[in-house]
Amino acid sequence: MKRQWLAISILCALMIHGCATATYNPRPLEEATFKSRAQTQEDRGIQVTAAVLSAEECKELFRLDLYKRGIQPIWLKIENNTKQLVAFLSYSVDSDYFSPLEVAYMHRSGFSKAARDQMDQYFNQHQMEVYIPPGSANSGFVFTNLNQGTKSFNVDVLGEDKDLRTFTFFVSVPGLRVSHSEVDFLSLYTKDEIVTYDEEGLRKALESLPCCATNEDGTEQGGPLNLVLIGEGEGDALHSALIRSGWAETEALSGKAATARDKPSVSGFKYAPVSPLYVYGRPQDAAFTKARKEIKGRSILRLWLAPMLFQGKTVWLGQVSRKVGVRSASRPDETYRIDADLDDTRGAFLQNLWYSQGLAKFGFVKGVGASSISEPRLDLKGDPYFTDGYRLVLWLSSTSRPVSRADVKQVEWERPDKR
Amino acid sequence: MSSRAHRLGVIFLFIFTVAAFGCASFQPRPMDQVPFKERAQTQQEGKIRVTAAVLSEEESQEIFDVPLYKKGIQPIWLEIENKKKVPLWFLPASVDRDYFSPLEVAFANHFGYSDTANKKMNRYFYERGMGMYIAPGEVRSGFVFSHLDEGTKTFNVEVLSADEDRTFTFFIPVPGLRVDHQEVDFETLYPKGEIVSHDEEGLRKALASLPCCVTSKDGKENGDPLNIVVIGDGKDVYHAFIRAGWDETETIYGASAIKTGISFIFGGRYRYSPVSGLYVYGRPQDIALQKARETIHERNHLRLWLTPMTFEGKSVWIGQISRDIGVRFTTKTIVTHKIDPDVDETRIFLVQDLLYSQGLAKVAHVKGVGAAPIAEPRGNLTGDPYFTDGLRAVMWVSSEPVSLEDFEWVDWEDPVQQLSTAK
Repeated sequence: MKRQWLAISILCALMIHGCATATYNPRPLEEATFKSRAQTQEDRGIQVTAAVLSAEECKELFRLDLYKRGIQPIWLKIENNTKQLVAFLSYSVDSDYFSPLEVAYMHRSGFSKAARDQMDQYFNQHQMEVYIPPGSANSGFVFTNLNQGTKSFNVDVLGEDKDLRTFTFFVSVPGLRVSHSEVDFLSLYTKDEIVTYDEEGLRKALESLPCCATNEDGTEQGGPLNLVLIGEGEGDALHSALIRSGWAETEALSGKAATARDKPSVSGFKYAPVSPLYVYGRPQDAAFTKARKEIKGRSILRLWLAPMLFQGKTVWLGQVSRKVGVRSASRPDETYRIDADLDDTRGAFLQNLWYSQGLAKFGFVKGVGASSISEPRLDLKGDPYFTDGYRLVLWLSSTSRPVSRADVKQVEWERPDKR
Repeated sequence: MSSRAHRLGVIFLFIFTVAAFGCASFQPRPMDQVPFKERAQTQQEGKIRVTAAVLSEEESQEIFDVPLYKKGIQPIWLEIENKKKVPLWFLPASVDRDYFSPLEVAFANHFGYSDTANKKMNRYFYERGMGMYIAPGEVRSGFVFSHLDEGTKTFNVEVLSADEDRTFTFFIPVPGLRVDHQEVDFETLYPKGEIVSHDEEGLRKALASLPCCVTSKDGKENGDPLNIVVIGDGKDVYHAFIRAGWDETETIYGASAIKTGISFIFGGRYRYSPVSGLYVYGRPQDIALQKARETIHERNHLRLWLTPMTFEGKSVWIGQISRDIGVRFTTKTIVTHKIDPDVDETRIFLVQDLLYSQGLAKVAHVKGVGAAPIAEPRGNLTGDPYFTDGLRAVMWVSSEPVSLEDFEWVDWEDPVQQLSTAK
């Protein structure tokens, strides 16, 4: 009997130790390929280079599945060509970043004591240091919370003289096939189809656009087209303003099952494909979402490129709605799947861009047609909605030129009902 | 026989009706019967008045007849008076960037099978939402549905008009938590004769000679390093940390122990969970604060003790900060939080946290902890190793927002020189 126990405990001990990897062997940094995607920016003697590691690159370099735990490393190199000491503020990249030893501790299981110590050493030595003396360069990792699609972040570098330099990055992370990557925007319209408008012409053109998105064959009306977006400044103003306001890109509708399986559980819903609605006889060209943590639901933004130009800028027709829940078998009586108060959703969108300094100008035009809470209209799924009937037109600003809240201009077109 | 069957049928029908409709009725209490406005705070600037009250869990249940706190939703009641001659616009996103819309809240609380009750609920929430437009001379009131914060709720109310933008900042205690620092009588901690007022040089010396570490209750064993000093009166400390998103901590009592147990077993979040006592001046911390993380259950902890010192009329606090990075098993307490051994990293996090939330007016570094290199770490009371450059961060905090232009470095010890020691 005693011997049996001894055998069992030896077996257990073997199993526990046998599985543990004896050493931690990350791949040498020189062999890593992610640096080929790095972006560099310079401002008054400070040069910042940044690269975001993909899920695969994390596995290759750290030999750990960091994405699975919702961790996304950013590699940074900061060169200080000024005459003063500067400090890199990791908080600017992600105010809820993971510390290097925290990341190591989260991944300790399966490693022997010696390997865990090696892992601690490795993460500690490869972190991005705070201080960069004059004439030198530092490089290392910051461990951020995971974003798929386009990752946007700041790198703040503070000088001894309190001179703050902010570098804003937009980095496309390999792995998610985003909705608008499938669209060939240049071939959507011929040159002759595109019309250039002045302000008054634009207003009229926007008013006479269809009220609503439709089903595929155009026979039934869906939710209203309550937004128009116009990019100000550089080319990607619209995209960068949306990303900076916390909107996430979504996966293309034809997304393969494989990408869904690779998707980490912490972020699944946020990037899920958005169902198609039709304008100009085609589904949306791009879809963005903003997810909630506390309750089921996300806001959805669908965009279609219009055959219009205003002062050389492209014009996008859009729909914003707030999906507040899923009509399930256990709740067949649910009245709303989208928030019926569409103007509240539209107002939240306006404030969202205003607070994130992505808004340069806005105005309202007619074109949707009003419906009231007691006589709501229905969308394609039969969900009721009501609205004052106006379309919100927003001129978005690129992040290289954030607009302070006091400088946002309003175009004197329509005035929506006071509410 | 048939009349009996008939009677039975009536009874069944009755029971069925009660079962089907009884549970699914939506019966909110009239607002004037719930005295939450007694706790309202009012601020007046120029010709604009803002009154705000935060509903407690019970009050939310009474007024809306659904358990909003359970869904992480906290209603804020606002009343805005516009005595100007021009219209005023209120921005709900100023209160909570990611506020819930009234119909969204209704949807999240809909009953299973009662369309009538759900329609009534939709209408009720919709009509009680705070609008955005306040006409000249008008008083408007309603609810904004924000994310739940217990302890102290802080939020802004921003209003715009053709000629001005104004921001009102509120700090409102929410009933329901028994917060640790409310149980400390700060007035009687030190007799008047014991309190020493220091000049800058004296302060620096006094701070460097404070004990290196917290201790066990009997003072015999050293624990975590006392690596932070906070200078500011109670209100400064409270406002600066609350604004930076730190949560208060409940004292240990029956209900808090149950909440901790539940969150430990079921993995839910209890942001205000009591923390164990660590000792300085022979007493446990006067204030414990914690900051929850976005995606993991771990959090950062800090503890503060009021010292018998003042500097330029402000109170001086000594403290300790640590970052929990997971749980581990020990022989002493069975389960304990593993802290990040790189305590300087955690200290640097706090300086940035206060800087970015504009609560930091000045920062300096002072000796007193004693360096411990990574190869020869010291241990805390639960046996966790830590390494440090041996410095304390001294932070002057402010209840009013400080812009970066007004922020100051104080040139005492140089943390850059210490880097090589620790690494």
